[in-house]
Amino acid sequence: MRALSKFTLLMTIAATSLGWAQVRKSIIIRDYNNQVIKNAVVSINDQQQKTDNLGRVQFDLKIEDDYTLQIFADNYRSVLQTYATVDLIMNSFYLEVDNTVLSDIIVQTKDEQKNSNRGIIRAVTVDTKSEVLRPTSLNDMMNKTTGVRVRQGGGLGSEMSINLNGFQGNAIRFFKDGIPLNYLGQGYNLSNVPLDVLDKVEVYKGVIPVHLASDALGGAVNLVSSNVQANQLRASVEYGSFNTVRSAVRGHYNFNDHLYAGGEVFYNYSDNDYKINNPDTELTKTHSKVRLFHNRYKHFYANAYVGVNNLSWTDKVELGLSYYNIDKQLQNSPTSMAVPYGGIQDKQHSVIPTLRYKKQLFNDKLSIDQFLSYNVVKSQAIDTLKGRYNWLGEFTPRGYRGEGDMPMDADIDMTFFTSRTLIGYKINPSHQLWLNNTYNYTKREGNDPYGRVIQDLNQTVIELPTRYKKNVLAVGITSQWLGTKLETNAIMKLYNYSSRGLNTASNVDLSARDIHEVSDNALGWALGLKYKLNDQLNLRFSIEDARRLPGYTELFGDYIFIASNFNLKPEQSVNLNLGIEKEVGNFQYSFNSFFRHTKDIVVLVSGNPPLSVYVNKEKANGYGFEGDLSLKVAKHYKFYGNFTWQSIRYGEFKQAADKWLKGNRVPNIPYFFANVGAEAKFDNVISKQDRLTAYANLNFVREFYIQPIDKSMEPDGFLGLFGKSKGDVKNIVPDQTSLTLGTLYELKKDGISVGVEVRNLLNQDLYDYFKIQKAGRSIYLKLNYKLN
Amino acid sequence: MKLIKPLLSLSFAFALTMTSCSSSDDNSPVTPIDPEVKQSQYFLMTLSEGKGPIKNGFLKAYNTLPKGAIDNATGNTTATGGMGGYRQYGNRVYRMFDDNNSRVLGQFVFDEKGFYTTKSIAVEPKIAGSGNFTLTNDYTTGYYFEGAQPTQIQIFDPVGMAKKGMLGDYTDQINALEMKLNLQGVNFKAIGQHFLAINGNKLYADITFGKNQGAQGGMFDGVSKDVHIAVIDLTNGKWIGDTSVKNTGNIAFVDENPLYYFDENKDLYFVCQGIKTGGLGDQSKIARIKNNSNEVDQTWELDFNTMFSNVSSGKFSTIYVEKGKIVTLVNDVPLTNPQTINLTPIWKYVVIDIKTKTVTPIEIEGVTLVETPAAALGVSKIDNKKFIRVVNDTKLGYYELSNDLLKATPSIEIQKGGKPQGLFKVDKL
Repeated sequence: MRALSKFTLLMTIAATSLGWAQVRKSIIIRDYNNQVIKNAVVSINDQQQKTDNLGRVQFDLKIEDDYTLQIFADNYRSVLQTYATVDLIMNSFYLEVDNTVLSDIIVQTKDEQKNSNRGIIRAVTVDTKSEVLRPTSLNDMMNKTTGVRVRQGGGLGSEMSINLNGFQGNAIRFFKDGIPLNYLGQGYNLSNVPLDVLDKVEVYKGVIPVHLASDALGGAVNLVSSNVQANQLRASVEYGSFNTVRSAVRGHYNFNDHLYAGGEVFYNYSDNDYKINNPDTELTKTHSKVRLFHNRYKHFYANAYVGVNNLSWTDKVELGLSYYNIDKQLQNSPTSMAVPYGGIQDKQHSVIPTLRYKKQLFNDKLSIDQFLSYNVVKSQAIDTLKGRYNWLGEFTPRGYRGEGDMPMDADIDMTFFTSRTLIGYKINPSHQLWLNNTYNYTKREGNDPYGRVIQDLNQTVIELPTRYKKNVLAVGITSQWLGTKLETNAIMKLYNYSSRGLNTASNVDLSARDIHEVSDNALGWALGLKYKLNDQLNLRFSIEDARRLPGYTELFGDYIFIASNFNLKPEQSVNLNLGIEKEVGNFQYSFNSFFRHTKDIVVLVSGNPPLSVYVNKEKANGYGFEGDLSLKVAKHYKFYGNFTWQSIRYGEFKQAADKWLKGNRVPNIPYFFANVGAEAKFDNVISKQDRLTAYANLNFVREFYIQPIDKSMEPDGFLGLFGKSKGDVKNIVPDQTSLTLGTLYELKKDGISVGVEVRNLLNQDLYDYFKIQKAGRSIYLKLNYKLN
Repeated sequence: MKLIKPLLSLSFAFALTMTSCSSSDDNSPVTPIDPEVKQSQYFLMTLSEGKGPIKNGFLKAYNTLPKGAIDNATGNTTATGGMGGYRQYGNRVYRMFDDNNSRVLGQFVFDEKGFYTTKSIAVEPKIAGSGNFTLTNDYTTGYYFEGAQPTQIQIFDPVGMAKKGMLGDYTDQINALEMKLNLQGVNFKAIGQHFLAINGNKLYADITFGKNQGAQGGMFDGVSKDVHIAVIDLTNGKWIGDTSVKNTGNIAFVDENPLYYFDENKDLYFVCQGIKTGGLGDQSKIARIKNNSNEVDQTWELDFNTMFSNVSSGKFSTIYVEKGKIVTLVNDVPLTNPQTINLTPIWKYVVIDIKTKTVTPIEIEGVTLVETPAAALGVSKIDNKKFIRVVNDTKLGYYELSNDLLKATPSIEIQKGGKPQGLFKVDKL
């Protein structure tokens, strides 16, 4: 109720506020042949819009000291002008043709990046377009980003999770174009999406905006698809170590001013057969290194869409149809390399129809954005081998099936229904009201001739229908005060979920008593503030009392290595973020800090080997800070660095056995990581209109612990950054340093480019959070082609 | 000039590399050795996250028997996995899970400061009980269960920790017994998976007739209503015969707590956990094989359902025998949920007179109910003192038992490190 009262107060304040003086400005963009230019990006100060099919944009501008106008469009020279008053801004602009297409995109992206960062709730934008030509993975890009740590078990396509501000796993929610990503199963995620099909990735730390209504706790990642609306075809292919092939094709075609179609296709393949230190201590005597032998990943994804826009009844209706197929070998469990597997496979595919409708009504005061999808992910979990492998890949027969916990040959249907409704209402130019409702329904059902039988029901675990429903209703208001100096975003959320299924974590016979029906609902709120101290300096603050409901993957498990646990409780957390950012010429920096107080954190832990299980941990308090700076020297050199330091520690426990944990670090969370990098670009190196780029990035992760250790045993030195932990800590992930070097050569006029990248050049031992070993030195080559 | 710029750029990157190399990852403890020092070391093992099957914890060495408030998580301590329990034979201490919490047959090798390395024999990791072992009475030879060959018993060198061959393959005898008993639905057969005990030249090994296969094979899934035990002659590996405990379903669990004990007369007392799946007990028994006998003593048993009918179904949960008395744990409420029975304080220590079967609760100062020790020992004996493990919501540590076993007073209070899983003494060699 306290949360409700606070929210009501905020709403009242917002609703009674006065409007601010506005001037409407319309601009038309044409070329010198007097042809209108569609999809040109026009920005005036903090506002940015794209021209419509008639080449028009319209701004509601506030009275300010001056107006900086920028225009970017593919194949045209950009425009940069400053005006003292609105009246002086011309009503039409004529752009000069220019073929330097690729560089334009980068400039345009840079502008978008600024725009995202200027929002009330700050999104760190991972600018995928600027590196689309490089043989860089999205994971690596994310890991270069301030405050972001991507954990991946190793190799293309392996399981991943992300750490933001000390939150990790499913506390961070993923979206595709604002829609929760669950409906795409494993077909579309950070580990397999190529940069080519993305416009950018928005990373929200702490409070997330109302248009991403979900039960995220520590933040959200929104994968934003390429938004190029001009006719275009792009293709790329990449080949690298471990027989890795990645290719992507993306195209868009406008039939006329209203009808358009397009699609994207990408393919990922890797044997992922890199060498690791032999996990088998007996075999280490003769073979210190072994090569992974059952780690292949094959993934295909295709999406086609057709849509109409700018009609009287709709601004946009788009029908999409996606298909994906994954064939994945599993070399080891996600939390342990103790036992190698040679026959366990995970396959899945799905056809996913989607519908999206957008419309603005009443002079754009009311906006509606509806998304619907319904699909069935058909998967197979296979573990039927009658024998076991060792780390040399040698097979020993044994008299029963199954290498993992239980034999399985399961056909599993996961049914997903997703509805997202976003309604916006512009109360006046300074205040906008939002309502977002996201409903997810998930059902798992299947059959498995080898499945564990529920004794008294005489059916296997997978035959028992397992259901999950979740609804998140968010209401928010964004407001501007004191001119545009102060901007606020107040959000209130109502969470609800229910689920029914069977607990499988224990190594005992299962019966109907293990079936659990759980449901919960909760109220949460958030408030974000941005205060513009001056044109170069912004101050940001956000606070939220958030809930994170257990996800279906945590409740259901994965049927292979992760057991189900329907005893999970929702996580709850109070989070505060405070930050400043400044831009002085070519030098930019930002500094952010956070605090959190979390109860019932859901984390993945090792269970009865080889099983893992999600469990609640009691309380944790955390704070941290992160810094980010970049410097451009002359036109061609750029240096950047960022770091994150965080202290996520257990809070108070009631039970005698756990009391000592208070103040100790929560395990499996790195507490310091940093990047430094440099980039140099040279034009006209071999021929006219070519460009050579060289880049380097050094990533460092400080040692961290797999089990809690006493605070006094942590390393000494400033912030624990130096020395080693005291005592004999065997459950530790040591310091990790990874260097990436790359170069890119572009023939801009022809739309062709080639990039080479060497990852982990120093061939260091790298691990994920459970000390799962990652690849050593590897090299990748990428070719790109762009038509139009 | 055009090429110099890119080269300069690459040079910069290499320079960046060279200034940023990581330091060594060697975390092994410093081990200065003073060969002149010969004294005993005491070890306390704790489980750092006392929930579920996670076996991460601490093993810390002490120069004297710990007493009072103890911090087990700092100082001469090792933070690692496989801290669920231990088995001690003479001056050597063994483990069944390694630092990575994987099944293994391992021996702690302690240095002068009390840090350790592990010598181990790899075992089939999937089958519960793989690595279950025992040693001859002179501790010179060991025998163990290997899940990959479940109907054989393997031999190992308990000093050098090396496999030495096979005592015997008892497939025929097990099959014959299965036929004789006319059992139906047997999918997993094993010998020694849960219970291996040696008295003189005789090895006692349980025979599993399990319903499940693979990882679940032999896990409270006995299809025979009785517990069957093979008696094997260690001099030649020959099957002397088999004997049984009637109407009890399943014998001990499969971890470091062997759930048996030899008394002063070399009579062997052991726990049978009962007929219910999930370890919920019911018809749990404590049975006896008298010294040098090849048969379970059919004239004597403790039957949980008879003695504790008000909390049935339930079971006996640990065992220590001395002077005609058995110290064990029994549940104080009926067992219903397999996932919570090991993690909630619903157990009480009792002393049972072997002759009269009289039950007397141990009077523990300020404590009524405790958690069951599971893989840990309920009673630890050091320097002629006996300690019981006490864990509940407010108490954590070891309490010293009185000579008559009927009272226990606080001795070790663990303040840091988690739940007590082991207390033992090792003489420096």
